Amino acid sequence: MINRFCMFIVALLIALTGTTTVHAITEVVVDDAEILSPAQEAEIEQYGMRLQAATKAELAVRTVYSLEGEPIEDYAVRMLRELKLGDKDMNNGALLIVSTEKDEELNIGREFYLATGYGLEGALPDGKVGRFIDELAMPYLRQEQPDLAIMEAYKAFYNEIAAEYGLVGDELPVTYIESGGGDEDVGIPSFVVILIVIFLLIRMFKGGGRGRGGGPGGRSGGGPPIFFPGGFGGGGGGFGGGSGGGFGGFGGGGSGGGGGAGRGW
Amino acid sequence: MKKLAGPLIAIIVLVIIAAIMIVPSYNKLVNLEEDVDQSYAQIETQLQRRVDLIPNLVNTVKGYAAQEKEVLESIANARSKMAGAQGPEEQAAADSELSGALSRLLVVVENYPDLKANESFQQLMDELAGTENRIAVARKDYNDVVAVFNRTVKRFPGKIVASIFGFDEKEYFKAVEGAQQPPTVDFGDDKK
Repeated sequence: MINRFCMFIVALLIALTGTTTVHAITEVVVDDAEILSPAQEAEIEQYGMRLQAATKAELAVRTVYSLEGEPIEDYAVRMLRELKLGDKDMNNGALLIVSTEKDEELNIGREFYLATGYGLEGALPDGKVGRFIDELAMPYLRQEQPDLAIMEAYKAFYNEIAAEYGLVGDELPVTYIESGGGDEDVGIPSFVVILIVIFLLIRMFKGGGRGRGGGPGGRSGGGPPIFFPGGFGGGGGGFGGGSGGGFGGFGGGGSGGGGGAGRGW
Repeated sequence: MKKLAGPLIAIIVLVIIAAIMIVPSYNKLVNLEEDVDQSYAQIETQLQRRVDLIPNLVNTVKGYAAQEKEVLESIANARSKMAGAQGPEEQAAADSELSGALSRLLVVVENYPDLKANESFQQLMDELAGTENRIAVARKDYNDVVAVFNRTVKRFPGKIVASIFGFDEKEYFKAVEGAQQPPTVDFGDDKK
């Protein structure tokens, strides 16, 4: 609400002063393919505004059903430019595009692609983007959980950009599924599994004789737990000092030159 | 003196009219030429970037598929041609050759699952794909500005100004025909 109101005021001011630098009002997330839940959208929105307020970098998400035959690389750059993501001089915008149309006969695959503006090519070089998508997003995508893939990839990209601009202590927790990805996250669950096993063993021996039979490992649940987002303040929360520093929020006038990486899924 | 006043005024008026017509047109051409140069520099940056990535790639591939000499050599050759190319036409040709060699490599790589799974290879391929995409974008941007520039040079009053001050039409950066086609690969068993 507060945000809306600020936008309105800004729009009014622009109208009154006759400034010509009106950008298309751009949102952090536009979920045309309806992948994300409202809570997830709100969470990304919050991250996006926070990042923009602190660094002027703009990291946006667009999900679409179809790319209408356009190659994902072209589509992503075109959108990045149309939305003018990032600061005008720093060109530090990035856009995550997820498409859901799939047609094997026509050779159309679902896409998951991040396009980076000129200014973020240092923080998010293509190789790194590809690796993040491989390790973080693909496991979720394979399990048909594109929403979680978007959330985790978004947080990982956020962390890289925040680190690039020296934003200390603003690291978002990222959750890997399937072992082999994040070494840190794998350690804790295996510790938990061991604890459960020991617990069960103790119970078995205490219970004497046959008791609960082949129990060990019974419900360990395999891999690391999936960290469900949504606990982050639920609703709007505070958008800091009101509408950051921008005309109508996102879309500061940045541009990109075709950097980025992605995968079909 | 009085006799001269009339023609003199006429001349001055003519000069002023000419200046009014020429100056903006000249400035426009200068700006456009600057744009053209700038976007050309962008292409060159990306081409250079690709040239820089190749040695790493070749080394990684060698570790797994040293026997694929032909492909590796064709990449190395294309790379050195690229490094030595001058001007849009030569560069475009070398760029296409390099693209062809790289896509041949991609086909060969299918036979080496270990290489495909290699993390640094993956990363290099992402960088290369991104760079190729950047080249495509830079090429399109460049051609767009060249089109505007050339149109201005050919039309009135740009045409007159251009001929006075020596602005020439700019060359497009054209992808060479055929380079975009997927390469044919011989899966003959004679090699193995």
